Amino acid sequence: MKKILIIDDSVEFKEMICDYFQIIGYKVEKADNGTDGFKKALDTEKPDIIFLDVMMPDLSGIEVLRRLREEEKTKNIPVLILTGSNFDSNMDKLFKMESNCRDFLSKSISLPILAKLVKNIIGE
Amino acid sequence: MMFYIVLINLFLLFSLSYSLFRLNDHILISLLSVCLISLVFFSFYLYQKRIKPISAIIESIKDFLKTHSLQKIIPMKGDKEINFIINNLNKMMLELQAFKSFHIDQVVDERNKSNAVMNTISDSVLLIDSSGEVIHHNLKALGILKIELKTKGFTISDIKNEGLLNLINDVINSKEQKGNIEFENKDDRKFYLISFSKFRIPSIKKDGIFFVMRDITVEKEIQKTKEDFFHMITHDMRAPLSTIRGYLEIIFSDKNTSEKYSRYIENINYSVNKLAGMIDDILNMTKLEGKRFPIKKEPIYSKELAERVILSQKLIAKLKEINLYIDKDFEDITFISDNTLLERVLINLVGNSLKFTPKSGEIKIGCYNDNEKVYFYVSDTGPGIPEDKRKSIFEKYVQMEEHREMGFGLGLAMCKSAIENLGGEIWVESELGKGAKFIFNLPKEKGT
Amino acid sequence: MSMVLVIDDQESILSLFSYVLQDAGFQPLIAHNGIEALELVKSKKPDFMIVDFSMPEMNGWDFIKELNKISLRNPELKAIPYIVMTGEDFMSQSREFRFEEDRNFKRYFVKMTDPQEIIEYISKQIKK
Repeated sequence: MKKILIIDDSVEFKEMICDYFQIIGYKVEKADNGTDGFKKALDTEKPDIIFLDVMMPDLSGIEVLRRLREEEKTKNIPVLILTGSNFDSNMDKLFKMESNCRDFLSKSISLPILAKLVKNIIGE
Repeated sequence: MMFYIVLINLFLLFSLSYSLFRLNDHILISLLSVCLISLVFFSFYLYQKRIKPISAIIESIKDFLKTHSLQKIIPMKGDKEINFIINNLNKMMLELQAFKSFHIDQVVDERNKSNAVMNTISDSVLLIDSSGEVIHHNLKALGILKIELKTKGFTISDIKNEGLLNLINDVINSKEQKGNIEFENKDDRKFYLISFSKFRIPSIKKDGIFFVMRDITVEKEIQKTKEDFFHMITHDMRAPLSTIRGYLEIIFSDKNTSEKYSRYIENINYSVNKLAGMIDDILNMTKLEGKRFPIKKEPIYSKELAERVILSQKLIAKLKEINLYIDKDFEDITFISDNTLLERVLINLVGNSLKFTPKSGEIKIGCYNDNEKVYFYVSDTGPGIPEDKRKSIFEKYVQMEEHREMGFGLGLAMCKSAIENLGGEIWVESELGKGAKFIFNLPKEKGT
Repeated sequence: MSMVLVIDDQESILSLFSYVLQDAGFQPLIAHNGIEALELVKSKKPDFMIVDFSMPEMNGWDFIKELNKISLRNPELKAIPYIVMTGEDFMSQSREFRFEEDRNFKRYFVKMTDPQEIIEYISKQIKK
């Protein structure tokens, strides 16, 4: 079973992602902030894909993204940025500059569409 | 009088020459003296009555031509004919003098009036010719442009406000004949709306540019407050809405969910999506109006877009027994635009048609293109729209009387704003009783 | 000889009318403003008046109002017929200044009408 790691400070959002993706056949691991997220990414059982929030209290999304890219063990894990703010083309460009960032999306994206994207990247 | 003197003299001269041969010395001498004396009187008369007055006339005319003002009236000391000339000359010069001061008064009056207007209005006014010379301005303009008061004429090189100087130069160099530019003045941190208009100044046969600069700081602030307010309200609504949709999806996807519940979920889903759409429209509207909407440029597949739209509305269409479908000549075109915005526009148009088309009606979505544009239309078999309302329905909060109860009338206004931001046009073709066809076009990005 | 009083703030207009009036056989009296004019009316009792409407401080209307007030108090001051010289844009303001309601008012003339025309009109109104 493919594993998703979600790094986000919103409890409801993590809960929803967890519930949904479990139903459609993925394993989901939750991390509450950047530091925790980075640690869990280095786990023995590496995630196949990471969902990453932009605005978090300790480490911001861009910082986590960069650390993941710089670390040998995690640089090849695809990352999907999920932001709660409106689309900002500058942000979009900034995040996509990092090689491990696959897409920059809104949190209000419909779940089936998100699932389709994930399937395209890592399979079922 | 002169005539008689001349006559007498001639007669005397004649008699003299006649007598010269006949008469003795005494008579001759006395006749000669009479002649001489009358000649003297004659010359004197001539001088006083003709020659001197004519000199006076000439002097007076010379003086008048220099200053156009009459210092002294020419005295009427000549003979009748000369006096006639003098009298009328006096009248003419007095009239000319009066005319001149009258007109000068008028011009000064007009200029004072226009200056009063120019210096009272709170906008800055500036008129320059194409070479950069300042022809006219008001006091406010000097302040905002940072021009120091000089006694002689100014040119635009006297403008110390760099930002405005650059703007003015841009306008001079551009081909636009008139326009409005928003400008943020770094010196006073205020926003100005600079309106300009180019025209020909007939008096100096040069092209001129007229600028009016209005302080719109307050308007901009209000607009921003409004935007912030709406944004704040609606942004916070999105997250819980996403959660609701998310869980609806989860229940729907769960294999254990019964068919009955699946149907319920579908209905809830439709309404939630509608709610989310309305919030998006409000959120977008403020940005679209302020022309500050960040437009995405992504590939759009027209058929896929139409299918998506139909899918989102198929529930209601089914309930109302309305046939919602893709028109048979629909062209599947790929072009660049903003997907989310276009989806909102089409959903609004279809939703609108669904509202007003009665049972067993039809709504079809079509698409076609030409060299420069892509066209979409949504055509229904509803009641149609009367000619006088075809423009106004696209205005905010305008609804037709008969349809007061149905929604808040933002949908079509949002469509118009969105299409305009995307560089296109939207309109409706309709006849009362024969349905309506909403059409919009979008420019094809170069390189598609 | 009949006396015609000309009231105008422009010196050149006074010179012009002074001359043409004399030439036509009238005796001109000139006043630069309403105050001077009132003095001349009281002292010389002219037979006709040419009143400029737009004068600073006291305009033609103010002068006539003042004159009428004084006439009420001094009945020996006979009624003096007059014409009013106005600017081209006067007609738009005329609602406020209803000279027509004054019984001594004869008619308007627009500046700058040919003085000859004005003199001819005056000649028809009073004898020389």
